[in-house]
Amino acid sequence: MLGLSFVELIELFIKVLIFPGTLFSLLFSIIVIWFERKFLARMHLRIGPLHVGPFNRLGLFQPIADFLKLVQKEIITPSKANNFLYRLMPMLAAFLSALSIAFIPYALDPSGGYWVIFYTPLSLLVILVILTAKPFIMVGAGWAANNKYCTIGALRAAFQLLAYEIPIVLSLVGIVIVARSFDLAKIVEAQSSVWLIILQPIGFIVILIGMMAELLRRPFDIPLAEQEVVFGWPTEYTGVQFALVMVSEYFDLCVTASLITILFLGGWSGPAIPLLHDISPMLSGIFWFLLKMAVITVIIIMGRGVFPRLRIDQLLESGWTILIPFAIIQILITLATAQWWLPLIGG
Amino acid sequence: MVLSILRPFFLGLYHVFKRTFTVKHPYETLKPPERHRGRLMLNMDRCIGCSSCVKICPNKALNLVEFNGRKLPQYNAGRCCFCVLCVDICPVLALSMTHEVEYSVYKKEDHIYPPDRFSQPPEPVKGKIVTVKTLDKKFGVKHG
Amino acid sequence: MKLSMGPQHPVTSHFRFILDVDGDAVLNFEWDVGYTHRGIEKIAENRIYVQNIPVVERINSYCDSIGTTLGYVEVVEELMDIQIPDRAKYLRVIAAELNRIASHLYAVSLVGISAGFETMLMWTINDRELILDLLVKLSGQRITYTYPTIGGVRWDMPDGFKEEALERLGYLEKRLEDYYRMMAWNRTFQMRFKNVGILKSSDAVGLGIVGPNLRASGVKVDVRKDEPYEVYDRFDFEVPTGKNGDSFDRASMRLKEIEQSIVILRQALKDIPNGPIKCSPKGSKVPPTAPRGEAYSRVESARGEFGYYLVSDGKSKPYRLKISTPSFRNLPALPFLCRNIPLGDIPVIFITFDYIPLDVDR
Repeated sequence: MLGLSFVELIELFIKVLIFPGTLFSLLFSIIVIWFERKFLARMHLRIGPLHVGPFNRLGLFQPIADFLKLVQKEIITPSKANNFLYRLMPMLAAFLSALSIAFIPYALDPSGGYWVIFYTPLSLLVILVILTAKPFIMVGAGWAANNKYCTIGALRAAFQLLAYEIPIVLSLVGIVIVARSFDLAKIVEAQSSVWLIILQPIGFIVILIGMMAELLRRPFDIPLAEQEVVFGWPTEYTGVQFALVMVSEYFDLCVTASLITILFLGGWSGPAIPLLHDISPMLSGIFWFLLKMAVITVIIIMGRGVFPRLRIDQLLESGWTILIPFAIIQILITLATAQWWLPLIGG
Repeated sequence: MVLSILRPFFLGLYHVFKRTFTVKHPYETLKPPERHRGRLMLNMDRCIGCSSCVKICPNKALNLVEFNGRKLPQYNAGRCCFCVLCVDICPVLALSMTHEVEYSVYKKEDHIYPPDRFSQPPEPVKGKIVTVKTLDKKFGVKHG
Repeated sequence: MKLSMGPQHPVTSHFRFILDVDGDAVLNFEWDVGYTHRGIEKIAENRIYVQNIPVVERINSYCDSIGTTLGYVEVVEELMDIQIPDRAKYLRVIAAELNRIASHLYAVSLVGISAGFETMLMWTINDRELILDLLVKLSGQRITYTYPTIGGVRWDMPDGFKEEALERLGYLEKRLEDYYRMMAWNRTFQMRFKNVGILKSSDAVGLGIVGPNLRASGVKVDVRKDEPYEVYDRFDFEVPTGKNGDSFDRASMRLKEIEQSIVILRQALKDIPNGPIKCSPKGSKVPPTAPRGEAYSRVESARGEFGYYLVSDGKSKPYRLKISTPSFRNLPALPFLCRNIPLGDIPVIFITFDYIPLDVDR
């Protein structure tokens, strides 16, 4: 089967089903949803989820309870909606978001190679292509629902996502110049002595802001603005379809946090953790990866607590006139200072 | 400009570690102040059936009914707006406000309190009774 | 494309806006009000004077009911020619200013949520709870106090109220710093609110805007200063004004007014004299009927000027009670400002005017 040996097949199953596949990404979404609610609640001086699950005052299982509730609900399709597209889009959204995880290496495999579901030397490009597909889903869903708020939200989403892909791609150029590869694993290895966040701080900020806009997080959640367009393109979705939309959002967060960790924070590199390292050196790498991911996730989530939402024209303006020039400046700086940093990364 | 973006960030992070403001209601209850206006209560022994409360009520929440050969007010909690004009006007101080606020019912008819039910004191509050203990900007408001 | 915003929409409360939108630009704006009409002016003709206090309170029940009832009791007192004791006047001022703080905190919370700023919503609502706690101690209710009555106030200050009030005001003053840091000085907030919905002072006067919204446009008009009622002429306070009349000025106007209310409250709590709280010990000594005639009173509530015009034909019930409410008078500003703007500015402009639909419809 697939020309794989039995051991390889088992390994593939573990990768797809447990880490970094289904179970990990679902667990990540659940933990992040819970953490976001609890963290923002504390920032608001509230308690947040309280009763569901073990440990008093923690409400650990609240996302699971919410998911179960959503699954039980009736699926309502608006009478004038385009049925096929309307039903397809949430599934496609969740599928595409989950697909990116397959190309992200999470650790060094002890038996050689990397801990990644599907290894390709062009993994960075593949993930970018998948990111680019997102606006089409939003426009499709917003158009199919045949609701004015959905349409406005979808158009806003298209504007925003297309505008912010350019600075992201531009600042990735700097990274590719440094690593001389589109391979995420090679990018991590290029950072073995010094992280790219130190060499390219402007690129890091541009990518962080751009990714927050891609994820539709708070200062940039204009397509979902509750006060203006109710809930944007997913307004009409109910029940399990809504759950899929939400899950796709958090899968995207997982992908983004992993991507920033790999690109700027040195991925799985870090000092060996004694206990974990004894079991397997891979576990130590995974620990560092998850820790860096968590930091990025907290920063992305915090935007929701401390910033009001921007307006769409301000967002587009800052995208075109601030982020893109900064990304280009970063490339130029990278090229101009090559002679100093090249020895640092062993090139 | 950078400061004005970073300051809210740190302020928000700081508030994560403050005390929460929430009172977990069924388990903890804020202590009602002495004057707190809840459901009305009738003192049946004192009432003389003068009907001034019925006349003053702006919402017609009270009306006189025959009860054990006496004329006594009947109370419709669904119409009451808690203005306490009836308590003020009562010449014999037969009416009083209790601290009871949890009297929601499923049926509209259950809101009508005939004189015997009207004169029953409310059940004591379950759970811990808390008040605002300390007001501290650094660590937040403490209930206890 | 015609877009019907409301009456069931996260931001418009009980209004309905009919917008002509082209993508994200609003070309035309019309409002449709009347979803909460209750006919309070007509109800008032069928109730005796004392019963009307809880009725007119419902004009503006969840925000500033002291300001609302105060105007009514004043107009009745003017008609009946009743002089109320000093302590009652001070107590009215204390209650009104506490309620103004609560109302402004609520307005600030809505300003926060109009741009999706949940933190501001939660913080201000939390601190409003402390002020409402004080009002419960004073009057027994959280939002519909029925506190001023014809000929005075209904209850005296409870024991320890003064100390507690001063402590809480001190806490609130410190918290205001946090609000400024989180909201008014926040770069993102300024980007969103500055230069949005600019109402020049000439336009504001021409449209008949009242209250903090007018003051935000730079016109120094405040009934408390211009035509002092109760004992406002005895206090030393400022009337803050804005410069540009944009949404940012209107939003920060509320924070500035909270500061001034704290100043007034400190003086009132310090100076309050001893004495009776009603012109007679029992409310019944107030005459049940008003003489034939008419009277007008105006008060500065949290949203602006409340006007009451009362006509009596000598019976126990008013012949006519005409109420002029601030939110209704602020309403013409909306169509004036909400044309040819981005859709995202509609909630910002709408919320910073601090409308309350109950008040518009009555």
